[in-house]
Parts: sequence; structure tokens; C-alpha cells
Amino acid sequence: MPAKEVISPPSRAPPLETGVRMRLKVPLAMAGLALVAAACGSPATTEEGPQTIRLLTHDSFAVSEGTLEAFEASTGNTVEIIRAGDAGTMLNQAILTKDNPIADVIFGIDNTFLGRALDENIFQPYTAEGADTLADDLQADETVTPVDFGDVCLNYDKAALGALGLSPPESLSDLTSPAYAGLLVVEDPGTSSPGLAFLLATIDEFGEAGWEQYWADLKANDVLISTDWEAAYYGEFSGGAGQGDRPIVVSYASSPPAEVIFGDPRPLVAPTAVVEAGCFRQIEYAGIVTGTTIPYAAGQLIDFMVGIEFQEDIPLNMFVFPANTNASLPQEFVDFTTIPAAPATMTAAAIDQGRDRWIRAWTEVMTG
Amino acid sequence: MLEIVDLTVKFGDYVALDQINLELRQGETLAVLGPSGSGKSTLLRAIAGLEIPDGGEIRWEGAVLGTRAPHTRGFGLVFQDYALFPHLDIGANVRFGLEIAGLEEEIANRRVAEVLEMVGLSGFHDRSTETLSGGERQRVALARALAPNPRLLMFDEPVAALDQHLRARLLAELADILHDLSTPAIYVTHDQTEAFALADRVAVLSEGRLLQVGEPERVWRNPASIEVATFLGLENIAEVRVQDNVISTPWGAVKGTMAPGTHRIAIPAASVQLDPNGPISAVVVRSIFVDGRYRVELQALNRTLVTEVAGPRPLEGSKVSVTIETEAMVVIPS
Amino acid sequence: MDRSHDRVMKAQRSTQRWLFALPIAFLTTFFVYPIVRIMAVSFSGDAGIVDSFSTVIRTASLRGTTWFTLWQALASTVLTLIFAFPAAALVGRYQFRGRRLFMASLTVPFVMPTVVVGAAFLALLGPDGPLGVDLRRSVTAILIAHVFFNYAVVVRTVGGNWANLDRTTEEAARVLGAGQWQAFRRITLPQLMPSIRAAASIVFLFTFTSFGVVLLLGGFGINTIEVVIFREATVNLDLAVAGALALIQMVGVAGAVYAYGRSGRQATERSVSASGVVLRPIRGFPARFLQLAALGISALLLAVPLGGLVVRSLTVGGGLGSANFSSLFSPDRTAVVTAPWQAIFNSIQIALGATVISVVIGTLLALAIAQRPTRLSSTMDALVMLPLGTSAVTVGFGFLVAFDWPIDLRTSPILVPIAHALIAVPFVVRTTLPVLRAVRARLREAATVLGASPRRVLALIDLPIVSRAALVGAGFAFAISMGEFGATAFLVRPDRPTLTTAIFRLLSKPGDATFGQAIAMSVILMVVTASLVAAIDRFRVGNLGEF
Repeated sequence: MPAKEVISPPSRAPPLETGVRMRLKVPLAMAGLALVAAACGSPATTEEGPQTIRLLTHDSFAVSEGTLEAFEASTGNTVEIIRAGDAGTMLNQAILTKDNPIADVIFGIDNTFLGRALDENIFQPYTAEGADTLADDLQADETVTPVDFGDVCLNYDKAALGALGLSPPESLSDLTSPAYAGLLVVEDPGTSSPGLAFLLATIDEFGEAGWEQYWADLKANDVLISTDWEAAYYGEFSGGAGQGDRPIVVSYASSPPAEVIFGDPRPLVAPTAVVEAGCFRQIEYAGIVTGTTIPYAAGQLIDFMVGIEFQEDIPLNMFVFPANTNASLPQEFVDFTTIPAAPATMTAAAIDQGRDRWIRAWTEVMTG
Repeated sequence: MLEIVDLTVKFGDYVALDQINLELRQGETLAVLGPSGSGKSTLLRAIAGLEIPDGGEIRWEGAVLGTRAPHTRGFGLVFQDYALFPHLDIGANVRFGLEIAGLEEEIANRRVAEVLEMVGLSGFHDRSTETLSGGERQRVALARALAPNPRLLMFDEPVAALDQHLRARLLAELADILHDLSTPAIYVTHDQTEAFALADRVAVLSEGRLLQVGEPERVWRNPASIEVATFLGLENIAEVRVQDNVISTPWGAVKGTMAPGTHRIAIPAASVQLDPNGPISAVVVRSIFVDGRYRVELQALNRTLVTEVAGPRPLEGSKVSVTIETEAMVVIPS
Repeated sequence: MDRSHDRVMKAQRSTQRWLFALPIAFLTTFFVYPIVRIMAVSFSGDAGIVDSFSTVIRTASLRGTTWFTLWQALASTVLTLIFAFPAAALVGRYQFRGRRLFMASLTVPFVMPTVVVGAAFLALLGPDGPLGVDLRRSVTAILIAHVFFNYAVVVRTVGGNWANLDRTTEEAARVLGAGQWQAFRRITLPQLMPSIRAAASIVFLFTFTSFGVVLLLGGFGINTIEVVIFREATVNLDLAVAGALALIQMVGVAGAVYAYGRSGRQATERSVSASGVVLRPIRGFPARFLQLAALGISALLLAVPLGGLVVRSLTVGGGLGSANFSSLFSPDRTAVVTAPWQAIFNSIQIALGATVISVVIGTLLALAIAQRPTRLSSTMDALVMLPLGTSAVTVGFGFLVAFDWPIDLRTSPILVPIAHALIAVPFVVRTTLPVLRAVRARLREAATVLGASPRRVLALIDLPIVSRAALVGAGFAFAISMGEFGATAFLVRPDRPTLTTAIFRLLSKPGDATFGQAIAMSVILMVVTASLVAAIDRFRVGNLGEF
């Protein structure tokens, strides 16, 4: 086994956190690490040989059997998946352990959290082989590689709207008209990731000056707020697998194909559909963890994740869309949904700046 | 074997045992007799090591037991409530002490069978303690105490919870067992018949103080105090004046030999007899049928006098004459 | 006054310390230390501890949240006690056909994933439900769900205690002229108080830190402190405010535990039946009425929602069928759960691990606490309850910052059963302690006089008697671990599918089939847990009754 390269600890580590560690741990260990690090010099970019790559990801991560095994077979590396709850939990865990990382690669931090991740410097620069095949508008930073995207969009129950004699809403503004009173269910952005995405879409649409009024109008129009996606979709939405009575819900662009694939019995057409306006694009990134001892192997994994095999495996496992423009989609994703042409987007930095303030203001509007 | 010297046990300010001095000889059964609260259970617990003395000493074969841990003393104790282990069957209860002693299984099993037979519970080996009657529980408790061949056996009111018939039978069996074993034993009870039935010597305890120790009959005949006499069940206690072989009792004067002067005496009920020629006249107040005889309360010179007669039943209100066997009078030192 | 057992006590002192060693090491390592570390990290940022606290105190909604958290927990506790009492009385007093099954099935709600139960309740409490009133998104719905989840805690704890009571005391009261009610109120109830207090404290802590139920059934704007901690830590990424709230939560919990400890102190001596079988057959009107009430409440509260789930799991495209199960076990290209057997196996393995850890630690703790009352034992008695009332985020993140040295345990699979055990240990302690205290001093003395040293008394008398009691706790521990998802979600853990993560994953993919499979998976979870709990219950024999 070749000698492991040791990367010197990040220079931007917050002094206080290091201070706590220093007090609570044996300082000698740290001193020793520093010595080794100094001796080894600059970060390695050369091959380290077969490695175990620790991949930290959220609970929604899924991949077909055999996919990762193919990577393991071709590179000799082993992938050890570590689960960490939802994306926010995972980010916090990555931040808390950045001085002594628990993983080499992190996958699943999306653009709503990316700003914080970049701020905390948990990723080191890396450009994936094949990065040129990834959609340009997904790229964010030199440290992270976009792997997939999913659009949070309004879904509607085709049958229910039809029975009401209503056409699907064509814009966010439609939802405040009396015709759509009492039909919409959304998620609380304070506890739900699609909820936050939808809030960002409204901010993008109406601007800092107008979004609060829009929500006040929605409230006046009897919008229903659920705490998370499961409660909104299964509990309140009337379409597809939903058991509730609201025909419009904030969900994903991939939900209608899912209703077909997991339909029981499998329907010929999706019972639900997507409203193309007012979508917000969530982009999930992968990155090499600052301080990993195996940057080369970690890079190999990221290369693999943006490669065709993994990318084409994404839709049916995670119900999001591949970042690789060459990847073809399963037929259901072609037939039963639309990829919005111009979803709302926001820079990671802008989201990070505003998120806390927006959620508090939103909560104020909706409870006030 | 066992010597208790100036033993004192206190619970806070309460003195449970106050300078007790006692001795127990090889093979002897000592009954400690006292009312509830007299400290008799505390005495057993102190000997067993479950209480630490505040003063005095307990010695076994000359060696001071001091604070020696209870489980190293090798004594056996049978509790009033039996304290059978609910999670063990009868065999396992009896074997407990043998296992603790590290006896080989085969030997232990033989011993368990032996003591179960001794207490008349052969074949109860595998039964649960739940299925037993009170008497059977008592026998198991006894067998469990006997099994490890303790150097000293102690009984804390072991038959108090049983019915009279069972009590008599168990006492008789216990007496036999104790006789055969020649293991010294201390038997605590509040019942003088139990004490007298079993004991070679009786120690009377009251309010933490030892009032009298001696062979049953001697204690009975010569109680050391009025307390002892009362507790032994002696009746007709009174002050008498003796002059010229005439004993003046509160019920009337009778003839008899006794040192002149004033004495406190007790007259066993059996020694008061109905006799048409008797010197004392009395009126029958109450007749109660007990143990095949009538226990009769009389009134003589406005004082109650108790007697026992075989029958026929003296009728309430009838006038009778009574004699007193003066030689049976028990003199109580004042 | 306590001179009476001086001799024994001296030996007990060392035995007690020896017994405490492992539990103290466990709780310090896996609870106190991680919490201290995460708090230190949380408050080391720009916003220090003072800033964070002033933020919390200044914000009106957080004050409202604190108040709501407290009152809903109190209300849930009282309601659970009231509704579960008839069933506790039934299993505590009477022998009837199906009693064991009844006891085992009560634990089922305990393991059901909140999401699944939430769905069942939403169906029942909706406008089309059997109640006919729309209770969705209401505090009432939260309270009903809390009673549902905690029903078994009261029935098993109080019922178990009841079965062990010396019935003669109540009979004595009856003979002395007390009516049935009077005898109950003045004689039986006081004797039941320790177990009622134990059950109440557990229910209170559980509901005080309620998370999933509140999120799912409460609707928007109804929050407990736990929900806000989750929000601050994982959405706002503000660990300082989360830490401040977690500290407030722990102080509240510690206060409740302390109050419980003080109120319970005088009631430690209890009589235990010496006369064997105490359960009576059901005869006469009051007994029949009780049975009717207990079974009626249980059916309405537990059987209806759970039965609804079973029916739903067998519903396929409008008709009945087993397709939800068969499709689960024959995964195709679109399968969400590829290895259901593996998930079942992993869940059982983790649950057994958590059960073993919590029974060992809990029994040692109970033995140590019962040895004699000391400051240490009352401190431990309280400390052991704290994990129940500590936010899962705090513990999860605490593990992460604490266990990188000397061995890196942060991603080790053992942290999952350990985290579950932290929650389960209080159950083991609470169910064994009353029994242990009831092991009469006489039995220990009898063993001592027969030559058993204090340690052997412990091994031969206390331990065998207590191990049966620990089995009740073991049943709880197993059930808790099987259904736990909240705390697990905040742990970094190796990728091993379990029943609960499989259900979570199924539910994240909308579709009738995935929903049906998720319900089918929940039914499997329900059946596996109930059968294993029933199997554990079977070991409980001997005249310490159901305990």
C-alpha cells in the first residue's frame, strides 16, 4: 500500500473552533499531524492506488444496483456511502467535521445551501473530467460539480381542476385570483426544502419589493401550509397518490412521471401535470472535501458521477434530471413532464444572504 | 458457645437492646420470650450480624464477632414471614445456602432431599413457592435454614402466622429436630407455651432489657418481677400479709406456710379450687369454656379471682366457696 | 435512624460504586460529553451564548413555542393517563383470554413511523372520517396522536405494577368498610403512585420533545421547541440559536425530572404480593364494565387507525390483494427498495443491539440506585431521564464532534444502537426500579444469613428477580429502536437500509404503488415488532406477576 499523502489543514479554519479542539484533545496529536503535513508538502494530484472513498450524502440518495460497483470494478476503489439525514443536516455535519473530515466526497448539497458550504470552505477546487458535457447554467463554483437538477414546480390534479371547470394556472399571479381560492397547498419554507424553493421562486418573480404582498394575497386566497412535502402531497393534495382535497400542490417536475411509474395500476397518462411558470431549479452538487487524503480517487468518483452511466441512472432513482446534456431520459420523463424553459434561479451567495431573513419575513406574513 | 456481653443496640435515640447478657451452651435451645417491641427480633438480627451493636460484644466460642459480615457467620435464621425466594422453586430455595458454600451438586442434592424429608416435604422439590400453604412455607424456610448445617439456628416467631393445630404439630416436630441435631438454637416468641414447649432455658425480654433467664419451670415458679409474672401468664397477682401461718389475701385469709411479713404473690388459676368447705366465699362472674375446661372469674371481697375447673359449668351469679393451694403460690420479689 | 442496615450498607457502598461504574461511563461518554462538545462548538461562533439567548428571549414566537411545548406536553400526559387507565386496571387485575396478545399489541403504536401514523390519522380525523369532524391541523389532533403513541407506556408500566400489588391491603380496606372506589382511592392508588409517576414522567418527556407528530398533524404555525431546534439547525443553519433552545429544553426537562424525583422519594417502599397468583378471572358487572371500557378505548384509539393501515396495505387498485407485499419482495427496475429482507434484518439487528445495551446499562443502574439512597443515586436516577428530553439534533451533532478521537467512531454503525439505547435506558430503569425496591429487604437478609456475600445476594436474589422486570423494559427498548427515525436522521451512519429508512424512501417517491408499499412495509414493521415483543414477554414468569 502506498504511503498516504496528508493534506495540510485548511488555513481558513475559524480560530475559535480550532481552539476548542485544542483544549479538548491531546495537543500532541495535532502537533504531530502538522509535522507530517509540513513534510509532505503540497496537495497530491497523482494516483494513490485503490482507495476506500467515503461518500457523504443525504437520505434521498439512491443508485441502481451495479452502478457504483461498475465504478469500483473499473478503478479498484471502494465506495463507502455514509448517510446524514437531509441536505441541511448533512451540510451542518460537514461543517462540524471540516477539521477532521468524515468523508472524501460530499454529494447532495443544493444551491439553496451551497453559499454556506462555500463560505465554510468545505470543498477544495476540482474540475471534473467531462465537465464540458454538463449544462452551463448549472455551474456555480470551481470547487463543486453539478450532478443533477430538479425543478420545484406547481403540480395540479388534472381531473379535479377539470371538474371545477378551471384551466391550470398559467402564472404565479393566477393563484391569487378568486377562482383558485382554497385550491393550493404549499410547504413551510422553514421546514421543507421544496417549500423554500417555492418561496425563492416567488421572490425571484415579484422581487424584494413585491413578494411579501404576493404571499399576503395567497394567504387571503386561503392557501394551505403543510410542514413538509410528505404531508402536503399525501395528506392534502388530491391528485395521484394524494389523499387530500387540494388540487394544486408545490412539488417537483418529476412527480407526474413518478405517478405513472409507481402508479397502481400503472396509468397510461399521468393524473397530474406541471405548471411551467413559477418553478425554481434546485441543483445538486458534488465536491471533494477539503482535507481528504485521497483527492485523486475522490476526483475519480466525481468524474464517474457526471459520466453517462451514472447520469442516466439518476432519474429513476432520485427523480431529478441529469446535469449531463448527453444523458438520455427514461421515456416517462419525456412523456409526462416538462422541463421548464426558464425556471427561477438565484446565485448561491444571494440565497445564503437572504434565506434566513426571507423565511422569518415569510413566517411573519403568514402568521401575522 | 455463644456469649452476649452488655449488648446494646440503638435506633437513633431509641434503645432497642439495653446491656443484654446471655449465654448459650452446646445443644441448648434458648427461648427468648417477650411482647412485641421488646427487642427480641433485634437481638436475633444482632447475633446474625444484620444489626451492628452500639455497645457490648457478641462472642462465638470465645471469638468476638464484632462487625463480622452476616454471611460469614454460619448461622441460620428462620424469618417470621419465611422470606422464601419467589423466583426459585422449593429445591432451589433449600439448596441456596449449599450452593453458596460451594458444595458439590450431588452432595447438595442429597442434603436437600434429606432436609426436605426431615421437615416432611419429600417430593416437593420442584414445586413453586406459590403453591404452598402457610405451614408448608414454614417447613421450607426451616429446611432452608437447616440445610447448610448452621452452627447456630435462630427462629424469629416462626409459627406465629399458623393456626393452632398446625402450630402445635410443627412445634413438636421442631422440638424433635432440635433435640436430634444438638445444634444450639435461639427461638424468639411472644407465646410462653411455645417457649416452654421447646426451650431448655427461657429468657424474658421487655423494652430492651433482659428481665430473667432460667429453666422454664424455675422461671415459672420464681418470676423475677411482676412484669415477668404477668408475661408468663401468671394470674391472681396480689399483695399478701403473712402472720402465724395465716396468709391474708385480698380475697380472704387462708392457712399456709410462708415466711412472715408482706409478699407479692401470684396464684396459678389451676391452684384455685372450688371447694364447698373452702374458706373463701365468692360469686361467679363469668365462665368461659377453654381447652376442655372452664375458666371462671370469681368476685371475692370485690376483687377478681380466676380459677379453672373441669366442670360442670359454674353458673354466673351463683355463690361458691374456694380454697387456694398455698404451696403453689408464686412469690414475686418486689 | 438508618443505622438498621449499617453492616450491609457498608458493603453496599462499594457494591453500589461498582455497579454505577459502567452506566456512568456510558452516559458520560455517549450523552454528557457529546452534548458539552456540541454546545461548546455552537457557542464559539460570532454569536456567543449571551447573544443567542437574548435572541431567543426577545423573539415572541419562541416564547409562544416554549409555552405551547409545555402545556401540550402536560395535557398529553394527563390525557394519556386518563385514557390508558382502564386498560392498565384490566391487565393489572384480571386474567382473560388474549391478555398476553393484548399487552404485546399495545406496543405497536410505539414503533410506527410518524409519517405512516400521521397518514392514518389524517384519514380518520378528516371531514370524511368516522368522527365526521375536521380535526386536521389542530392541537386536538396532536393530543390524540400523543395518546396513541404513549398508551402502552401507561398500560404496561402501571398495569405491571398493579399486578404485583399485595391484594390483601385492598381487601383489608374493603373489610374495614371501604367501598370499592374508596378502597381503590385510599389504598390501591397510593401504592400505584410510583408507577403512575414513572409513566407520567416518560410520557411528559416524550411529548415535550415531540417532533414528527407536531410537524405532521399540527400544521403550520404550531411548533414545539424540538421543531424550532430542527429548523434552526438544519434550515437556518444557526447552531447558536439551536444550541440556546436545546439548553432551554434541557433545563425544562431537568426541572421536570427533578420535580418527579422529589415527589417520588417517599413512595419507594411498596408491598409485593407474597401470595402468588393475584390475577382474577373477569366476573361480575364492574369487571365486565372495565373490560368493555378498556377494550373499547384501545380499539378506538389503536385498532382503528392500525387496522386502517392493514386494510390499506391490502388494497390494490380499489380491490383487495397482496400486490403491495409481493411487489415489495420482487423488486424490478423501478423498485425503490431493492433489499427488503436486508432492511428487516438490519432493523432487527440494530434493535437487538440497542436492547442489549439498554438492558445491561439500565439494569445495572436500577440495581445501583436501589442499593441505597445517596446523592449519587438520586442524581443518576434523574440524569438517566435526560436523553429522553434532549433534542435529537443535539445528540446527533454531538456524536459527530465528540467521537473523532481517540478512535474515530463518527461513522461507525454502533452509534445507531447506542443512540437508540440512550432513549431506551430510561424505560428499563423505570420498569425495573419499582420491582427492585419491592424485593423485600427480608429476602436479601435471608440470603445473607445463608452465607451469601453482598455481591452474591445481588447476583442470586436481586438480579434474577430484576431481570424479569428488565424484560418489560427490553420490550420497550426493542420497539423504540425498531421504529426510531427522528434521532437516527441526525446521525452520520453507514449505508444500511432499515425498515424505517425504506419506508421514508418509498414515501419520497409519489405514486400509489410506492405509497401502498410504504404502508405494507409499515405493516411488516408492526408485525415483526409485535411478535418479537410478544416473544420477549413470554419469558416473564414467576410470581412477580407481569413484571
